[in-house]
Amino acid sequence: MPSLGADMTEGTVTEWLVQAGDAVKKGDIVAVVHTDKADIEIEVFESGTLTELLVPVGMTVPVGTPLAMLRSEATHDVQSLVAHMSASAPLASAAPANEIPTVDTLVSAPQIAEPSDRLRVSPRARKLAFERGIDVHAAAALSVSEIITSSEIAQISGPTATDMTSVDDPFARSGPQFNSRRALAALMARSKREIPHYYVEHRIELGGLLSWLEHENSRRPVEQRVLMIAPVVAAVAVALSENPSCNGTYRDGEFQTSSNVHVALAVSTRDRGLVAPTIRDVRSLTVDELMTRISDVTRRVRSGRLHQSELGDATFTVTSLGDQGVDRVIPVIYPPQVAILGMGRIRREACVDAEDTIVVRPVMQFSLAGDHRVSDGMDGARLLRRIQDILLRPAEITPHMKETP
Amino acid sequence: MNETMRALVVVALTKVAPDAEAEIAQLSDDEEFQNALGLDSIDFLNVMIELKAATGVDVAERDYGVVRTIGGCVAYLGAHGDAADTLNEKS
Repeated sequence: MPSLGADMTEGTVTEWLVQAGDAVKKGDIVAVVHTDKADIEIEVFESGTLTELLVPVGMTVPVGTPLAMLRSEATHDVQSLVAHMSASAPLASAAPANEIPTVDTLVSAPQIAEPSDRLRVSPRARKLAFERGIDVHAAAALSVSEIITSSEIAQISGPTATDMTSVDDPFARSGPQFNSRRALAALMARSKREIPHYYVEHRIELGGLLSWLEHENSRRPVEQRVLMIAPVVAAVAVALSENPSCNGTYRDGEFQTSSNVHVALAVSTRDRGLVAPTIRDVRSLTVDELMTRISDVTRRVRSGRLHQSELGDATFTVTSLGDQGVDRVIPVIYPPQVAILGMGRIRREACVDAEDTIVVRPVMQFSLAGDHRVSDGMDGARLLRRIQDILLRPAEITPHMKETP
Repeated sequence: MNETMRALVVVALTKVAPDAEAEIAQLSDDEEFQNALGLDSIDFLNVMIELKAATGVDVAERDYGVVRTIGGCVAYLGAHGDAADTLNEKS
């Protein structure tokens, strides 16, 4: 069971699109997993043969549980499998490369190392695994040592599991909205507990960008129109690539910056709470392509069907509540990310222009929350300044803007 | 109120925001659906795209102000293009 976002703890297999014995190619969709957030299409990361389906349809298993066994087409070591795990999955370490197994567990979990009778699990670890619903076989595959300890089980189940089993859990009710509320509650509490947030804000004048959009949209059919969010996300990606201390993830006391910019967009749904689908590699997309992606993914978030690659692995989040009328958003960082941008509504305000004249201009409040363990206010200020510069001169992000005849 | 056209607007809203299906059924004709359903501007644009797919009517951005309610959509779609007539003939 892959981890599809830091707030996911378990998932239910609702559909197998393949059978045991089927040959699969890298990238094939092999299963659909139901989570509190969405139904997610699970892809396979290696070509080969699925030798066994381990989790039947209808079964709910914790993150990290192997879903199926895959015999790889090419020889590869365990390390490469580990690298294919979702970055959010709790992992100990990989086995040495010389212990190459012939059959590896895939569909986002490492291989089962030993048959059950040869597993060495400490009694405390076994008890903890049972309480938290962790498969000790899966734990064995993740374990670095010969004997599985309770701390490894605790690491696998993650801190959120503790929160979830707590007796005074205020959301101890059933149903997807309560489950996703509870998972998000744990994640946000962790963010506020662990991340020393700093905040910087800019009021950005959007007159130029808005008239450019209006002009573009007036000559485009409705399917090709671009909303403000697209150039903003494009600008964010350019600015992040130049200010990498706000782009990446923080895990186990270490910040890892990302060379790609994967932006998550916070979307509020009626029945599944807040979902933040990821737009991958934003820098490779034109503003038009970005708009198509945003529009498409927003629609699928609402209908509840997402692809595996669209959840988790984000390096930055953008949240906008401007459409709901708020002036500004002071956002909470989404762990393990290290920064988040909040957008308020477009409002007309008095501004002072270059000639010291007071003029009325459309403006928007941009608020950046950064992780002070990783970056300083100066970094955040530089990032916002760069976003502003790009939005004031949108030509920089729109050279490839599709010309409509 | 053209009921065929109204049903079509409801379908467009439901396609874009299936999670708000219950609220969509409760909408009155003069209620602003974006606020009532908690939709953002991306959802609103998707509703316009759905309406065009269903009727062929391309709502210009400057006209967005008059299509914020179901009643407004029905009136606008009725007044623009002949998609409405085609639909009525079919039904």
